[in-house]
Amino acid sequence: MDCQWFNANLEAYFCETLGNEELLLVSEHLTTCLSCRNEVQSLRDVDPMVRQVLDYRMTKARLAASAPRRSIGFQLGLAGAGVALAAAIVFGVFLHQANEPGGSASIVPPTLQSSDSPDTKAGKGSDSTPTVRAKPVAPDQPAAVKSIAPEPIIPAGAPEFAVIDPSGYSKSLSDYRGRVLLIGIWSADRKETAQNLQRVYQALGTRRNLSVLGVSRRKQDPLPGMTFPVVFNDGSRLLEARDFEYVVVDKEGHEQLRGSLAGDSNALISKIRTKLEQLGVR
Amino acid sequence: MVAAPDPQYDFETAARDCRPFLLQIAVASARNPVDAEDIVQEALLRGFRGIRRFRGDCPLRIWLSRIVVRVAINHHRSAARRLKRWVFFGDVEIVREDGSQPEFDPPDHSRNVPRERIMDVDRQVNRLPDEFKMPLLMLAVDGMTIPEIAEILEIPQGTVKSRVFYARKRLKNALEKRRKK
Repeated sequence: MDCQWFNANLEAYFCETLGNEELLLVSEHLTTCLSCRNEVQSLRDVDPMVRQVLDYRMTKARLAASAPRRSIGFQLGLAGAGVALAAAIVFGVFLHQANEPGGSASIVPPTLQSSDSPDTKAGKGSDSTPTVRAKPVAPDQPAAVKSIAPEPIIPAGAPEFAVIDPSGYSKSLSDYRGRVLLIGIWSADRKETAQNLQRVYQALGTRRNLSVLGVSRRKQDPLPGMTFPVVFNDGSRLLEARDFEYVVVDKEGHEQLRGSLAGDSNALISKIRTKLEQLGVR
Repeated sequence: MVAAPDPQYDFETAARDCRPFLLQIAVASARNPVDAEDIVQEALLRGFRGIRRFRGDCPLRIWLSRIVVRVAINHHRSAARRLKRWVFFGDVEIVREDGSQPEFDPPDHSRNVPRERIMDVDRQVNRLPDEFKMPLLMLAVDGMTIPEIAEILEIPQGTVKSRVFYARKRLKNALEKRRKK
């Protein structure tokens, strides 16, 4: 009985398929060999950890089960409150727009008239002056509308890359360390970019040491025919990638290539393929 | 020996009794424990509809567990993961009217271990293929034995033991690798 024999029969030892004589020899070997004893112990130590994982999952399951259990009346009330809140926000935005300086023609003209009136009284002004001065008011109106456009949701201090897979597990760049990562920002709004990402995935996705991820900024269902792994942004900056862009990150987590998913898919594939081959992904 | 099914068998009572066990099976089988409740609800509904097909050749909880495993696998594969939440058995709510919890929640051994550590092991467990992960997690379920796992997964006992061994080995190697980084 030596360590080599024991390692070769470790499975049989755990599966209890060793004969009585072999078991006796194993127990004798384990009393004398520290490394084999440690190996057996480290495998047995897995069980308490798995038990803790199950407990942890049970707690999550219980929390998820107890949280959304509400009566239909409560759910309807919640939905009604949501609609009322949305209406209040829309009304507030409308009021804000109406009160914006320069946003309404009804406020600005009187100030122009009042400033012009001394000139008129002095006899220097002409009839055309007020209309000429009033002109800049009109282009201000779109600017006022622009000022209420939604601000960028992702703050500057957000993590560089954090996504959630459909099962709810979060992933960061460190999870892909040691592999080349290709992310593409897709959205159902522009199907051709999602189709291009799909073609890239079909052409290159099976390569070893390459992970392809289709990231969407909000949770949305995959389009028909999409087979690439889909994840959702979790409030990260997504490597500063804009919509419908792709980014190739090398094994150490450094950006290597960036471009748009729009356009000719063959050119896109060959460009990415060249870069992947430079990075040693074949 | 397994008793023949009683024609007057009160499925609702049986479902209530089995529920803590089934929830643990669902947690062991599902990719995401958040879905476990949906899985149990759907499995109980399917069990209720198909109770006539229960031949009584195994305990009812094993029969229902098989349904739970099948539902869990389909649930993961299905694109529509957001299943309708059935409110089927009014008296088997997770939170009872008096505010008490059913006794499915096992004692919390995890308090002594940092949460990050448990989450890390959880992530590694989830990376195991289903055929390895399920027997390993099921073995951690209260009172679950190798023969029962074999019955639920409908595979030989030797295969269960072998898969548990390889799951342990893979998990151990993954955790050691991570510790070295």
